[in-house]
Amino acid sequence: MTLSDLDRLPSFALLGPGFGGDGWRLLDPLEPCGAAAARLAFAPFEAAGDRPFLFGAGRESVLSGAPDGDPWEGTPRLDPAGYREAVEVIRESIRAGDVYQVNLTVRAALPGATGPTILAALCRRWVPRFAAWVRLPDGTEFVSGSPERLFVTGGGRVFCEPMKGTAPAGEGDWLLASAKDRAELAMITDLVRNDLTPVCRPGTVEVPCARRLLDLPYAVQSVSDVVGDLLPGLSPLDVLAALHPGGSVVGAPKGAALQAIRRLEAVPRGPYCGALGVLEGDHADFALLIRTAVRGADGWWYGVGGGIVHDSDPAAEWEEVRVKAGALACGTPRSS
Amino acid sequence: MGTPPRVIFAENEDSFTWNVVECLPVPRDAVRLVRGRVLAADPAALEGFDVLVVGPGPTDPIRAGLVGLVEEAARRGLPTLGICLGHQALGLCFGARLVRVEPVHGRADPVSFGPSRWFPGQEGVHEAMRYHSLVLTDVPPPLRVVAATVDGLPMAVEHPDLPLAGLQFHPDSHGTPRGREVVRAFFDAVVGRGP
Repeated sequence: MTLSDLDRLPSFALLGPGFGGDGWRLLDPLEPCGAAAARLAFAPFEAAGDRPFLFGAGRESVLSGAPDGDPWEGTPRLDPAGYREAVEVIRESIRAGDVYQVNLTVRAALPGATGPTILAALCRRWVPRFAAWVRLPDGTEFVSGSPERLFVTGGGRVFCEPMKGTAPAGEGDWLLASAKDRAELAMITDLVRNDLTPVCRPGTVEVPCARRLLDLPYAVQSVSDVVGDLLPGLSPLDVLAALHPGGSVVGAPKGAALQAIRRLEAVPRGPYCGALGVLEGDHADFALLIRTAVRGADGWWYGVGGGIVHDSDPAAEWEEVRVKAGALACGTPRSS
Repeated sequence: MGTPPRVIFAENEDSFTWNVVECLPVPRDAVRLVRGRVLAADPAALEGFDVLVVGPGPTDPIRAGLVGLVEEAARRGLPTLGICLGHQALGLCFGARLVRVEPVHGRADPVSFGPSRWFPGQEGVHEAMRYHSLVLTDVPPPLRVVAATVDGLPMAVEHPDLPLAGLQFHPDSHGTPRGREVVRAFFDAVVGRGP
């Protein structure tokens, strides 16, 4: 089946190899599934994590190879209106003590793009860690090339890998030397520890590694490892409820950062920065939907953003947003 | 210690609250979490607890409604440990000033502890994670500063007679290796010391 064939289906979930299958999997969200089958779970950014959309995924088929087709070749269109002001509002909130970090995002319009051409663009030079193209019965549709894992559970354990900091492949030393990236990751690591604690046995939430480099084919990212032993009787969906939306796309503290995001971002993020995962018994693997394009009423858009801290310079942050949007298909820039 | 001290925890809508709970030397079920603002409006709820922890959080102690809460705890002689925002509330309660400094969020710095009544045995340099934009200054007696950064910013204060102390840094952070030890020192010093 080609991507164009897929585009004719009313609903489907095409998941890349990172979601735990043997290669690419095609799941049917409408098909009811038995208890033993894999289920798909999805929570848009604004949804409470304890009420994810759950989908059956009974009729599963495996694609023979990576999706092919012509990639989208346009220029992402960004509107700078209000961005600089939003960064300044956040910086003043930080100085006043009202918030510690806010992840601010904007939309880049992708004129003429379609699901198949965006997926082909995201997979042009490599298959991203959590590649997916999902079309749901309610009309929600998105394509993701996310490198970020929200969490994985299995055997009574939960493992999180919060990600902050990006550099071009081969520039890991630069990333390790960046005090700003170090601080942002430390903050999100403490936030994830906090969010995991209520669903874990006392004293079991630990940080086996506070900072390590994750080499991707096209970039290097810094991540930490946060682990814990789940309280008995909890399911992966309880973990999702505790973690969603992921700290690295919100900021800290979460409540104040979410308020700032609602106030400063013009439109809801929807699937962008949401969570998508596959549940199979007590095993679950969830991606955090960054590097994600969403089909809106006016066509496809791609979300880009970054953590705003007190050191952030509005002009430099905007340049970063421009570069990240431009890198949709051809590379990943250094983070600000 | 036989039964663990009963802890009432004034939480302030922070994303580090549970880290502080886990950092206390008592079982999780010995800690009752109450929104700081709610507790401030109903100080009778402090009855029956052995220790008040005033946790971290955004804004400042005045807007968070915490200064009156610490005053009430001091009046009752209830052992009180303030963390970050709670530490700032303790300072304001005794006449210190709270000022803006260059925000530090997520950076571990060396913090020097001197002799202390409520953090005994902690003298020396600790690596301590900081998350704050505001800091106490002009800390007047009877409060005293018992820990500070290299550039002299107060990182811990205590009352010499009442069992009240505060930590500006986060003992709960993964970036504060000896944080649990500092908090345990406070609990050991204040709990079961007699009237």
